[in-house]
Amino acid sequence: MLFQCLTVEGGCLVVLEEGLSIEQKLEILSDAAKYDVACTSSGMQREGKAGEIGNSVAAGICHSFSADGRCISLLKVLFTNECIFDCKYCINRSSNDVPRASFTPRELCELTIGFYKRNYIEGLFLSSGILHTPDYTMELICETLRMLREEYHFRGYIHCKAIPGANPLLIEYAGWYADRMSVNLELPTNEGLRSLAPNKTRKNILGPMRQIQDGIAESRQYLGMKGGNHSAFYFTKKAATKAGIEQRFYNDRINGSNRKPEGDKKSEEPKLSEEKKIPEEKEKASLQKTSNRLSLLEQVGRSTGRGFAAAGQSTQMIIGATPETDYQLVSVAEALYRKFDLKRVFYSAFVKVNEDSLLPDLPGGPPLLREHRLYQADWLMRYYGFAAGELLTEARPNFNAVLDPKCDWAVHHMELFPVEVLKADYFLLLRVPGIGPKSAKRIVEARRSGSFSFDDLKRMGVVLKRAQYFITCGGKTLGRLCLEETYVTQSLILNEKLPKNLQDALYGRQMSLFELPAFSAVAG
Amino acid sequence: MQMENLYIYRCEDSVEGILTGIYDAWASIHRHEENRIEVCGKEWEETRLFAEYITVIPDAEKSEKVQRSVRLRISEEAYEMVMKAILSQDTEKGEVIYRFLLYAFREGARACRSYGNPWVMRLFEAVRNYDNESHHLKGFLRFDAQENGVLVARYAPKNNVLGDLMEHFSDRLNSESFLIFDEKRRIMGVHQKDSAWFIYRLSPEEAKDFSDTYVEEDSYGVLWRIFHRTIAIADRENPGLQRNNLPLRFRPYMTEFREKTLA
Repeated sequence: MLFQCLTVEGGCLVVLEEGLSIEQKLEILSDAAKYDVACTSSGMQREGKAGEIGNSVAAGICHSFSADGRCISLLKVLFTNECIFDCKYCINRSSNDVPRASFTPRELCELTIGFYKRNYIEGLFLSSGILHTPDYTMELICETLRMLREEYHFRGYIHCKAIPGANPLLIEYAGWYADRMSVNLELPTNEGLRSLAPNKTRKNILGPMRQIQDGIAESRQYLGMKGGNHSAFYFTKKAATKAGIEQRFYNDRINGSNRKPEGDKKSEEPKLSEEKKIPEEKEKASLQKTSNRLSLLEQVGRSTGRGFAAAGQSTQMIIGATPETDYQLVSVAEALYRKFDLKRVFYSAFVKVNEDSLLPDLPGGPPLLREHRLYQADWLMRYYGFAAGELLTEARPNFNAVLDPKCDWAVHHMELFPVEVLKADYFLLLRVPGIGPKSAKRIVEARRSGSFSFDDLKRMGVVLKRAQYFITCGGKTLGRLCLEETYVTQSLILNEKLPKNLQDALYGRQMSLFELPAFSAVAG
Repeated sequence: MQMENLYIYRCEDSVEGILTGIYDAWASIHRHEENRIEVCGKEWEETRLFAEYITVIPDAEKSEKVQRSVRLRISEEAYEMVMKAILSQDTEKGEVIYRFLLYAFREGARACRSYGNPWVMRLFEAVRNYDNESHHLKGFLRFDAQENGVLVARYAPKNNVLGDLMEHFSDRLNSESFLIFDEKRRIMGVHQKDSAWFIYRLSPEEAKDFSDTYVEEDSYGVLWRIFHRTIAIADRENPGLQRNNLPLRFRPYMTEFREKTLA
């Protein structure tokens, strides 16, 4: 047995449960948590308060980056890696023989506060395997959050997973302590879930998701903005609708197909069960709901003014463990944004940690390029006003390997270009490859007091190596402007340098650029 | 070469120094085109022939006057940009601010967004650089708990972002006593538990004393390194991406990059 005692303010940190030191527990339980993607600390602005510890910054803060280049913002750990479930893809599945450990609520609080004070982290991301029962586990999680908030007076960020199958009251309880809640969708289709996560069902994933959404809506009613804001997707959609972009871009322009993305629900997106009501009605309806919810609101919510999961909710899908197309994935993501008002959908390239006949082989490693394209598309939906159906269709269900989704969209819509940057409105500017929300906003602001040059555009953040094929600036072009699809596509591809690891993923197969099917299809 | 008169105002690198320089240049009888504002580094830049050098004596009152007119006659936003630019690493910031103000007093509040104007753009870039580094350091700064409970951080930023950081951490850690020491400028931000913060300039001897007594780490450093190592996914290792996101220059001060194991 290891008998170590780390002295910290307030005495002994280590509880020698199961003979494991705190170092060993931390190692086991962070190792087991690392496949969860989300580590963001955004969406919550909260000032400090005398006598308490911590605050929260809406933009989120990255505290470090691990060897894989991913942001570390939160202490991301499992409460326990014990698990009664046997999800095929998961390192902690019950049939695996791995070292198991559990924290105590006290240990986790001490770790969180100790790390927080030294500015290692922005807060806690608490997930868990399932010890004994979902309720038992969720209760331990709730107790940890309660202690952190009420005993340690912690005002930093807390992201908490809802355990599928746990009593809704416990999820409700956690929501009043956490800033963000998430339930992992894990696999985008029902079939996928059935084959790889036999203990999870769509119902006990979407159920809590809906409950959390209702909770946030309700908390917003009571506490205003402080109670929780809508997602970026919601706001972009609202502004885009107001600017009439559906009429301008969607009709007849969906990569050659004539469907409206919003239209025809039956043929299009994979169904997410239970939808129906529009948010306003729902907000009202949920207010009259359970009495215990209101008493919790009185007890916890109103007195702290913290709100119910006021930084919103997110989810995560595993990419490449099951045979969905990119089109299915972005459609599911879009549906989640629209129906559950999620802040983020995260995509996690499948890493094969278990040998199982039901899991695919990944000779080229995790599908990182695919994950990268999905994030790009996700951004286009949340901040640019793109609809999933504009980016991909059933006929063309996968992203282009060599062109990012926006460039790919643009070269198929050359009739919209060139765009005159001194005149075009915000949403048209956003359609130009190389122009993002920040630079589009700067352009709109800057032209109020006069014109500017290509050089100024560059300094405003426009990526000219992409934008140059699509814009004029005061009637001028940068170099030759040829609005011919093949020419533009080739130029874009030749200019593009993918991040190194993605280049490896793409070219590792010793394919030359011109052998790539996507490329020769266009070039040929 | 064109022969013209040049009057170069040499200012100390401080709010008072730079704003007094601008005040003096403005109040002078020369045309604006003939004036230059130069901020001193350690030594003066090379001396130009045919130029008259004016050494600016920092003056609180003049500096106040400039600040007031920027706030009243341009905007709060312009004021904030100018103050950040003064703390930025831009070596020509005096000149940039002078030219920006000339333009902005004429154009009013919208000048701050007139990115087509080269001086506005220069100011914007200096401010953006300052803001980015400040934001980075809110995450990358590391405190080590000393035996007396005081949290101590050391760093050497390119821009002088200490004020920003003190503002941030005194809200966040209001019940802690902490120090942030800028080794490059030898200035220290001091926050005493439950009271207001201030910035203090250390003499070389004091700085040495400080370095000698400072204890680099407590037991949490070990735990943090365990976490930092374990949380990475080996199949996705990508040092290039890690370096882009977390430039090497920050790492010497960061707990997770110290090569230490349990003693």
